[in-house]
Amino acid sequence: MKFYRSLVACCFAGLCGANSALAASLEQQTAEHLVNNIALPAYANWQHNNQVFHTASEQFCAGKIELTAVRSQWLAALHAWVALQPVLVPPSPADHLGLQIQFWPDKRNLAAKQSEELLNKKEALTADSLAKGSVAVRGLTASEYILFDRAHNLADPTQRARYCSLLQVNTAYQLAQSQHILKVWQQEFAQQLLQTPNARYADAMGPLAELLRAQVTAFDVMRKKLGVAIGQPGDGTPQPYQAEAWRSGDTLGGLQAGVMASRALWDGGGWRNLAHSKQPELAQKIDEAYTALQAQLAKLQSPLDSLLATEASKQQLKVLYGQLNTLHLLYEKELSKALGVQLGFNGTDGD
Amino acid sequence: MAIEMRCSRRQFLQQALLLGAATTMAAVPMSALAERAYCLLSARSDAAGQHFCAGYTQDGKQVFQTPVPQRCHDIAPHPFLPRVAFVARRPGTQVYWLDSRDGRILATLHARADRHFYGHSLFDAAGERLYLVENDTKQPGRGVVGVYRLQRERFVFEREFATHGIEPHQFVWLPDRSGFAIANGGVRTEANSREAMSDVVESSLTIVNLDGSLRSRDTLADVRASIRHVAVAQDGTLVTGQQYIFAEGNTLDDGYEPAHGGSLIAIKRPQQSLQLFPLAAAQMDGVNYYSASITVHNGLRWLAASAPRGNRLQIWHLDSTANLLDYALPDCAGIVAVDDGFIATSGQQACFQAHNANHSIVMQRLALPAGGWDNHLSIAYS
Repeated sequence: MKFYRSLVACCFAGLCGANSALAASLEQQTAEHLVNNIALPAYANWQHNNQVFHTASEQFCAGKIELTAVRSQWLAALHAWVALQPVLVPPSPADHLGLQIQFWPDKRNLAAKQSEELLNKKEALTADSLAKGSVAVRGLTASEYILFDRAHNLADPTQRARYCSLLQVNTAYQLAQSQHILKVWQQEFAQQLLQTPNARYADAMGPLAELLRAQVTAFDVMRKKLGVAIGQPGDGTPQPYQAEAWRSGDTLGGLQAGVMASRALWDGGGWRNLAHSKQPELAQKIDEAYTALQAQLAKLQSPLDSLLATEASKQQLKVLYGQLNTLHLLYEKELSKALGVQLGFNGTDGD
Repeated sequence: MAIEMRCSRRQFLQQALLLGAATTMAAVPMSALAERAYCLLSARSDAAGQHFCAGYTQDGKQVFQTPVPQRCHDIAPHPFLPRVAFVARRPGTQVYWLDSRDGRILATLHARADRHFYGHSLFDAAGERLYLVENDTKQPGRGVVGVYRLQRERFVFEREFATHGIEPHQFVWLPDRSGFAIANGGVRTEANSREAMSDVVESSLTIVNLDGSLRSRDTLADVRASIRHVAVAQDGTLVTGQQYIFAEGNTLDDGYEPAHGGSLIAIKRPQQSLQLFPLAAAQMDGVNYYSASITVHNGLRWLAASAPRGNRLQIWHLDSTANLLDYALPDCAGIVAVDDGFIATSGQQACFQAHNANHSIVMQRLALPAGGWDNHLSIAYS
């Protein structure tokens, strides 16, 4: 093992020659699986759900479908977005989605404040005005405010007309973003990730490193989203209004979707395959961590606010946070090292 | 091919007088740079946490990669000898003095009592003295420049003077060599620590004469902006790169809204005060309020900055301020000016050269090893 670690470190630093043909082949196979079987379908699914959500918002605003129907499409769009996080590698700086699609954390309730300010201007809203405005009025958080805020009565035609002007522009914006990114992935970026060397990557490890960084970042964000809501790490004081999807009550549903997406990247010909070839005991540890985390999630089926109401369920949430943290650390500290991937260097520990 | 495989110096004195230290490389006229082989110098680390002083030829051949105990940051090549100093980053206590032809460590300079290094250093043009920015840990954060005379492959402490600021980081010679421009980061840290003692940032750009007297001091209105890096153009224009200091793990989670939409880069043109370099909102988005290396190319009047948290390499025209390049380069790290553009390294991925092609920019992946490159890149010509 010691020898192997040295070999990995050696190759990363460019201190030795090419990897063995077997290792290169396994890395290439893993990259192909992650890109073709997971990432591309995830981007296509996200684009599809945004299309359905946009259509649903138009139909709702035209009075053709009920509020519950468009709300369920918002949830589907959220879950598709969450599932995208472990493969969220921007092809270029201009494709850096992040806050464009989901404004989180919204510590000062800016999605509500700035949406109202925008609507009070009574100007015709366009995709262009949205793109030039604050990120707080774009994407899922603003749409959730419109569709789920308890102060809204969207059955009232006047209110519905007011909020629909922003909702429809917003869902169209989100759809356009997803169409663009899907196109870039399908036409260029997937090939760039798989056919190395190329102008961007020296070898197959380059794309794998980017994908692993996206995965670890996704875990870190999931951990923070749950942590801030339940007061972990810290003194345990919950901040439920800083949770993801608190208005819709789907905080744990989003987490579930994120964990499932990460597991899909792990299983089959994904990260597990590569990890097992290098450190079988680490692959086993991550298997067990997933099993424990998903079992705990299955126990917690109520909305977050009701779970925070009792001490017993708060303890269960704390256990869940600890399991999520464990899995994050296994990827961040152990898996990255086993694969010879330096996750952060100057970006996280520079000067 | 000795010329390719060694960082040896021949007929170098004249060039050295032009080149000075690492951060003034861009001052070299383009005609002088053409067709010359050079060696790239940088601190590196591997995934296992081993740190190195490294030298590579431009076509990717390793000249040396010497393991060292402390992670280094900036590099000061001797102006005409085949020697180079690698400085440990804060709160490092060692400077490694290497033979740049083979990477042998000839000496290690240890920090004095109650001092540690901040990672940057400069040689004087005569190659007689090494200047190092240091923390006076008896008054944490008080910046000093330690002056060390080179004597028979050893450095002997000569004197020190104040930077007139808190936590000096990068500093550069003024073009006339009458003093230094010093980026005082403004973050107080104690001995043996990288953790800020508070989230108060007392940052400044000071111009300090060789005798240690203060000539000028500029600050930014943005209270979270730490002026950490500085580059100088041949006409004396200074450009600074900022990093934002946030209370909670260097993120924007605390809702802080930077003044003026952010002051990631600032410029001090001759006879003017330090002012914000105008950046489009799109350029600020995604760079996570953190710039690392900043470099001026005098021949082209281009300015390049790396944004390792935003994973971008950006280039602007120094005079028009037009953005010329916004390139996705994960953990973009060190930048150095070369013949027709810049070479940029990465902490995680392949290294690239940005070529000037009739005033558009063509990116070329280099044969240098991918990843593990620290935030500063220097160059030594054969």
